[in-house]
Amino acid sequence: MSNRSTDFAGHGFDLHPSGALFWRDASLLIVGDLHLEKASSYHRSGQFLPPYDTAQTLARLGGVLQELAPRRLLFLGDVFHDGAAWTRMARKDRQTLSDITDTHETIWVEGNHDQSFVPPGHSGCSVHVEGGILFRHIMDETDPRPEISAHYHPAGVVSHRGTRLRRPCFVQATTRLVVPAFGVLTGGLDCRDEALAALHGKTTRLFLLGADSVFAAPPGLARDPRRRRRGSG
Amino acid sequence: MIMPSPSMVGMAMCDDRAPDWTCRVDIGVDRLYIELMVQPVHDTQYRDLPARLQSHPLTGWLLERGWHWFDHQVEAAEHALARRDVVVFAPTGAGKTLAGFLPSFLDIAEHGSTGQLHTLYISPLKALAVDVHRNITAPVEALDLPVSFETRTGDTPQSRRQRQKKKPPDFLMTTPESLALLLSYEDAGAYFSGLRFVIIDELHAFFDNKRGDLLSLNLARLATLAPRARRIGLSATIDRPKLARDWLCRRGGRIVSTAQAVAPVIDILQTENRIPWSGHMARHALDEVYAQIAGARMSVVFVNTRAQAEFVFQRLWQLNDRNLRIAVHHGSLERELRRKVEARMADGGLDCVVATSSLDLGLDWADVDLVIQVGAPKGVSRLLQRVGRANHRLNEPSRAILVPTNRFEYLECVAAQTEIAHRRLDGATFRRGGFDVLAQHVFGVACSGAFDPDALYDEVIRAAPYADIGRREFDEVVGFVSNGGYALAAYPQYNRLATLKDGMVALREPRMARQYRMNIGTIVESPMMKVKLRNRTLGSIEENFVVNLSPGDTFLFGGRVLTYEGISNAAVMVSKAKGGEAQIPSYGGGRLPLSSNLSLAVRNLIGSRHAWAGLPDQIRDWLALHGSRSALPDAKTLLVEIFPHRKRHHTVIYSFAGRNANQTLGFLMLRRMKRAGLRPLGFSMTDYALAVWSLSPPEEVESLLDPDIMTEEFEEWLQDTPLLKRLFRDTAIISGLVERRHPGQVKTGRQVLFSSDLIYDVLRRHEPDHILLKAVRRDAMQGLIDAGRLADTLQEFAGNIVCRHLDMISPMAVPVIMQIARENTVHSDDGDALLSDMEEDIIRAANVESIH
Repeated sequence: MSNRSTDFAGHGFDLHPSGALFWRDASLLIVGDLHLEKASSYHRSGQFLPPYDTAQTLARLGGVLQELAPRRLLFLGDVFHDGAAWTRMARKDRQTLSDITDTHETIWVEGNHDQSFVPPGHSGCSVHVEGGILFRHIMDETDPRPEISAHYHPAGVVSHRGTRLRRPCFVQATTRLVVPAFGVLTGGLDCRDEALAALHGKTTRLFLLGADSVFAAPPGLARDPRRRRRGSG
Repeated sequence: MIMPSPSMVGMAMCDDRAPDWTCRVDIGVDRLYIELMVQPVHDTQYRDLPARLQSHPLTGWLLERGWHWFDHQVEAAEHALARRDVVVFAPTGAGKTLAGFLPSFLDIAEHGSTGQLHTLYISPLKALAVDVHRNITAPVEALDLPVSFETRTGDTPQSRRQRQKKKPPDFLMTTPESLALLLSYEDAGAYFSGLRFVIIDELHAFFDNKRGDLLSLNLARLATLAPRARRIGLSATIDRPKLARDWLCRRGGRIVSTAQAVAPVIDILQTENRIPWSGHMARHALDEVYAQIAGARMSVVFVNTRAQAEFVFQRLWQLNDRNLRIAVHHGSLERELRRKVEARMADGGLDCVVATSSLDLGLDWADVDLVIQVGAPKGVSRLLQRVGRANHRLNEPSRAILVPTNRFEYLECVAAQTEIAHRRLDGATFRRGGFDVLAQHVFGVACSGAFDPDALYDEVIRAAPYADIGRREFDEVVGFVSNGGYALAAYPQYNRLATLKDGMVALREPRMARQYRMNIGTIVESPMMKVKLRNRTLGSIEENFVVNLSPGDTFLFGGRVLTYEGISNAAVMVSKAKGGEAQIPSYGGGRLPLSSNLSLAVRNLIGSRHAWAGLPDQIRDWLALHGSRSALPDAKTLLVEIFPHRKRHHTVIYSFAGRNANQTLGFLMLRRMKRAGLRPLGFSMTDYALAVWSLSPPEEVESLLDPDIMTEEFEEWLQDTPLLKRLFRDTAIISGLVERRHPGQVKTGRQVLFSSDLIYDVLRRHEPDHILLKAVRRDAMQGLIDAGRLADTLQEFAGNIVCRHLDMISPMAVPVIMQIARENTVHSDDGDALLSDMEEDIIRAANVESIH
């Protein structure tokens, strides 16, 4: 797989087409929003989504770990789709996850969906700080310090030669980097949405995920005027 | 002649000398014409009337006015009363509705009301159910017949529904969806136990779609709950009546048919202007269309797409120096606006309506004397139905003018004329039932009470579209309804169904029925957004159209040029544009593929020069020019052209197989040409032809088009085509895998809950034989992919391919090549190639900048 690199806060990062971010010098792999057991969370309400997402997401993670061989692994929140996801996980999937956490030094940043749950034997934190960068699940628009976050499942929309494409993407603004969701059954939010206003700017870069590589869109990201809210309407 | 009076039921004008002519009964109020059609008395026939019919007050009512029943009405009633299912084939306006209700009237006259539901009338359209209700009101009230009747649709208020449940009317007029709902109640068995007749109106509209699947399953259910009830189907004339009978009727079912009395007069607009080689907007002909409108009393201009409706409407207003009252009517407009247009039509307040098929029904009660069809009719039966709806004059044939928008369409119009003159109709298509609809039905059955799977399977295969399904597939569907039916069964505590000790299967918790009832139906709308001008809602528009707009863009909607402002609270905000032309909207519109029958007629016409005599000079010259530059396709041979154009080699295949089959062939050709090292780049298609462009020209086309492409490339392609993903979106909703998004319901949360595309990928990877994937493949083969038609076409032409290597584009190739510029064409199934190309462009642009 061909990786793309970007400089952020004075460090070099590799952008992986799976949606993982690799800080090579720190031997740290960063993944956000795995949303394990998302499908099964809908079973209670009678929507029987195929219960294979957890296995597939973990297999994807295993593949990236094998390829990049980091020493450490940082979960950027919402590893689990809900607080009870762990109890619903198949024994086999739980084992796969344990194998991963046993062989890597793990850092668990808490998310919102996971209700701050971390598997037994681990402890979570709300912010991890390293190399002058804050790692949070949800970005803090008021904090000017360099920050890497997840949560929004950003997706980039590009038009080229009359065809419109939408892909999960990394978003990089001056002091912020947002990673795409890593889970296989996770939807996306158009980055032009006003919820991501803190990322909008002329120099913002979008890196779109392809099957085997990451593609850079033309620089600049503006709020989509279609998405504005007007008074009472 | 009896003059209609406002207070009583009277007769429209009629001419006793005209034999076998249909007359309309004018009920004298607001010029509402109803479909109670009768014919002048002939004494010989009079004596043959069965005694019970003769003594019925309806007959007396007709006789007083010098009228009596049609033969087909009597015959159908005789069959139904003799407890046989029956299908009545008759042209529009031949009194089918009364034929349907006659047995019910007679039965009630004889035995009295039972206090239970006696007759169920099912129509594909809510509005038709309401209209029929209105039509039946007239004689029932005039004669004070002891019959109660009500409608029940999605619009029926809750209070009336409750009352209908407690005290059912004799006749209930409803839709397949409302019937499914009624069948899902626990007391359905008791509710329907006294049912005697089920009338299915517009039967022909059910054969080739999922609503038909749903209806067919419901009828099978009714046959179990109410074994005495007979089925009466009312259908437009189709070419294979026996198949229609087999679809609806049980053993011993009968066919009753009556022919069109007077053939319609269908002309093609003769224009002084140049007919374009391609395009669909009829810009060249609209001044002449306007002249025709001005000469008619009330005309309807039918178009095929909403884009055409908007464009034609706007142009006609620009030409409207005589201040004619012209309105527009299409499915995206707000219902209130549509109703207003229909009401104004009915009371004579309009001179012309530009409409898509959304108006097909409104014509029934308006006094239309001219139908203009802009664009190719695409099928003979469809054209006849549109034309027939407009006939409200006595002793006059329906009159229609066809307006071809390009030269190919001109040929199609001529072919349609010929087919109609020879009374050759399109083959009605019947589909195999969808597994997703079956899943919905099984859930519904479970809601009504515990069921025995063996008995339910036997019941289901009695529904014609499901006759072919095996027990294993059925069990897989039941498994899906229960818990998703995955090999990895996970959480039994959430299962929908539970198997009881006696082998019966029941809903695990009664409250789950709510989920079923919220998700009934087989029509999945593409997500729509409301269009708002300040606080007024103008209608709805596809979300997919909106995402391609930028603020400031202008587009036509509801006959106005609107400026797109933005989105607010999930509505599209617009303002009135300051004059000028709008960019033509490219949004939706029914793209029906050309019927096989008409396609053959077009090929015959092109291939036989003696038939060209009746064509205008410009069309003849165009054909001759094509013949001299290339060759003419005909009924026997498949023409293929290979020529360079814009630095690419184009291979144009004149298959005449319809756009769906051509699209499939396009995908297959991409694979085969790639394999042959020809470096294909993309394709585009029309109903008539497919164009594939490549970096190297093919030397030899026979092997490219060998029918074995349907096995070798096809299976492989089917595995990863995005077309299946598209179909899966509907299947996921119809089957109940994901819940329906109700109109106006705003997405909750900041992220889309989940995307059916992602579910599809996960499922395909982990359980490729899952019943929902089987469901999608089964649907695709008969519709979007049109595999059958493509295979037939390739077989038919094998060994009869004529290939021409040309220096340049040929006249007939222009429309399909123009598509390349106009549409988002499919370059490949994979967007990564496009992204890579985008990146190269950016890099190139960056380099240029650095040089400057």
